[in-house]
Amino acid sequence: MGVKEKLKKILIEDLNLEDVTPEEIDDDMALFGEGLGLDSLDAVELVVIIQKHFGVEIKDMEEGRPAFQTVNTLARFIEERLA
Amino acid sequence: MPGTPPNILVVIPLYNHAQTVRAVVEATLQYHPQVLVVDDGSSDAGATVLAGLDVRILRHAQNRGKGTALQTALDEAERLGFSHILTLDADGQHEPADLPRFLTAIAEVPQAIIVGKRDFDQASIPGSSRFGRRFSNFWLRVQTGKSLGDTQSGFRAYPVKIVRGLRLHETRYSYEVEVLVRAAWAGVKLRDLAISVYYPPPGERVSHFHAFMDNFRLTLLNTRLTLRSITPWPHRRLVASGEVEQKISILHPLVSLRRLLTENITPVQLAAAGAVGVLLGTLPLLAAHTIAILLVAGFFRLNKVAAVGASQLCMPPLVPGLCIELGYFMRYGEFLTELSLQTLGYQALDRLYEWLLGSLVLAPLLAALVASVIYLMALTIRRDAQHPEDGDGSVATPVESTAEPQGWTSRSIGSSWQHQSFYLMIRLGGRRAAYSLLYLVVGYYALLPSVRRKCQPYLQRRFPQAGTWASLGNRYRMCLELGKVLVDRALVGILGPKRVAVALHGRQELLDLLAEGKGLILVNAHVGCWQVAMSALGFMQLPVNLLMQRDAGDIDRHYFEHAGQECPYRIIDPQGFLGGALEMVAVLKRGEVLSVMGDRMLGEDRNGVAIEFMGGEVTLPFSAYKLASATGAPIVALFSYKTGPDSYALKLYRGIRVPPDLGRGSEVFVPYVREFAATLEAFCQEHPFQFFNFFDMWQDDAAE
Repeated sequence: MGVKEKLKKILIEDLNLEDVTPEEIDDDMALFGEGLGLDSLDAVELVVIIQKHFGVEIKDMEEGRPAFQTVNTLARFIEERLA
Repeated sequence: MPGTPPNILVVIPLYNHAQTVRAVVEATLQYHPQVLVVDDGSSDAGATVLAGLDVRILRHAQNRGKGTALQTALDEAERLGFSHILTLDADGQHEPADLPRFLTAIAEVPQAIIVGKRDFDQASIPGSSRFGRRFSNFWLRVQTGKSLGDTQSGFRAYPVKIVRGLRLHETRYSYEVEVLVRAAWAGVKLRDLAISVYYPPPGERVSHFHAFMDNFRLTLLNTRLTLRSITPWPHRRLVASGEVEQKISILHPLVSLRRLLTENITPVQLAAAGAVGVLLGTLPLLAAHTIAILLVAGFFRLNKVAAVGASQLCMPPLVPGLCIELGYFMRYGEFLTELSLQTLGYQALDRLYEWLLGSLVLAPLLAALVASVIYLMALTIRRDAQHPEDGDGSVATPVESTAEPQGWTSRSIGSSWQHQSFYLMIRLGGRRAAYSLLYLVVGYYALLPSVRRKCQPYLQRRFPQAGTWASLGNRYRMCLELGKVLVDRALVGILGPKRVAVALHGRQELLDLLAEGKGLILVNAHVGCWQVAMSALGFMQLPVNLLMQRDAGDIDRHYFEHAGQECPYRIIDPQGFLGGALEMVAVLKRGEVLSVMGDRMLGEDRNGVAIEFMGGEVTLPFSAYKLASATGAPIVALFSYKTGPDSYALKLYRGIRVPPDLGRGSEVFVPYVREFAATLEAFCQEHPFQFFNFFDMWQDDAAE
């Protein structure tokens, strides 16, 4: 399973997103606000679950801001860190 | 001569401007046929360059000054039957093209002196001219209460008969100042007229204004005119204006007020005059009171008699004595009781300083008091005068309804000004001085309806039994505590952190929690003085990060701003990306301290839960508990409170542990937020007047 698919799956499971399937999450859909509709508290959770599942730590805003846009940007960020 | 069209002579005074005068005269003739050149004893070619032009020329054998030249022109104009003269300079700085507009203006206001106002936004004007103009305008205003845009301009129209009737003594440039002042005193109208102006480049420009001698003459003239302007005998009037000369006596205030009111002075203007008199009368100006009051009253066109009359209330020894006692109290915390050669003689300079200190507090208060009394008296009298048939019965009620005049609308600058005066008091007299001021100011604040609205939501829950007087007292205490906290905060900034001792309760617990390495979340509230107390956290040797929102219009300063220092905390902006959530997580992951306010929702934050607090339902933020759950960081409820004049305490009230993986949704955090709310309620039981959350927390409570 690729990073994107795994990411979508844990987004739904760990954030308890109801009525959403991995297929419905578009790669370029905004994670926060309009789009998937996550909020700042989900961002807190997301930092934690990315570390838990991928072992990737997000240390500060400069890293987090560009990564926390869409599934694509987040997956690319994780892949860069794992490489 | 109303009705007859003005008959105008253009006058060009000439002194050593042979190079430019011919062009000026030629251009002038294109607009007006009647031109007189007065050659004031030129030593160059003088008026001979005008040969062949159709102009009248008069010549002084010796140089006698611009003023004399203008008088010569006025004599000649009168002899020839002209009604007005219109003067312009021979050096070419005035544009004859402006003449038609002058001619129109003269026809509109034939009895006024019209002064061409140079457009000083133009780049070629020398800086010295700008300053000179402002300075000269200022004196005209002091001496006459009238304002003109350009009192130094030589491009003017004079009504001949009126100016001939003035007694003028100046012969040189200062003539042009004197004529305006004396004309204004005589009741002649002064008018501005915008003109264009050309200042040649410095090399080409020839001016006969002698910097030293002419300025010296102007200073002498201004001294004389100012002294004359503050002497009480009336000026001879040439133009009837309908204003009645004042016959006012301080011994008969009501009669005097009534008379003043018949002269179209409003109650507000009278009150303002009284306020100026008392304000300046209270200050230790040492024998210069009356002059200062007359000058200030003249500048603002306030009634001088009323101002000086009101200042008599500040006669020694009462008011200076009060000021000294107050100043002494502000410095030493006790009153001066020993009157001896030692205290009044050898320590005279100290007493003078205390006089100044005390008067800074007392002067505005007395001024406001006197102004209100005069205003109400004047209002009552005027109402009587306007409705004599109404009798006594109707007087009482309308006074109250109109007792709040438009004059008190400067609230927006008021608060900034008030803050500044506290900072000044701190610098001058230290804590005691600022606190003394506070006791008075807070009394006023506690009575304001807006302050009442802000305090009541909390106070009526904390003290449900309190009646009207008790709740006023509570409000006063609460505002006083807040005032002290604000003073302390500024004090720490201005005079240094050593001024306040902070006792920390729970030091070991904090160290133990930090040792866990998961960071630490401090949940504060709007109580005590968190900013002063935070200095006690220095021992942790860790960066403190603060979730804090600052509004653009914030006027109260943080203590480090007073000291001109960098902010000692890192600020996380709740309006930043994802509400600063990523930054907060990062801070905790680095094991640092994060401080948030637990008693109020910030800005756009919608992550709140309904919690029972002091018998009502409030919405409190739960983000901090979510962060704790996600990162494993411990939470402590940490509150500060003032314990004495120069001491604070910072106390760890309760540690709150939030288990990991609580998941999504707000309900799961309710128990932990409730722990915090209960802790805060306990704090309010202990320190009821140090709760400064003036936001109505209970506004959404369904039970309301």
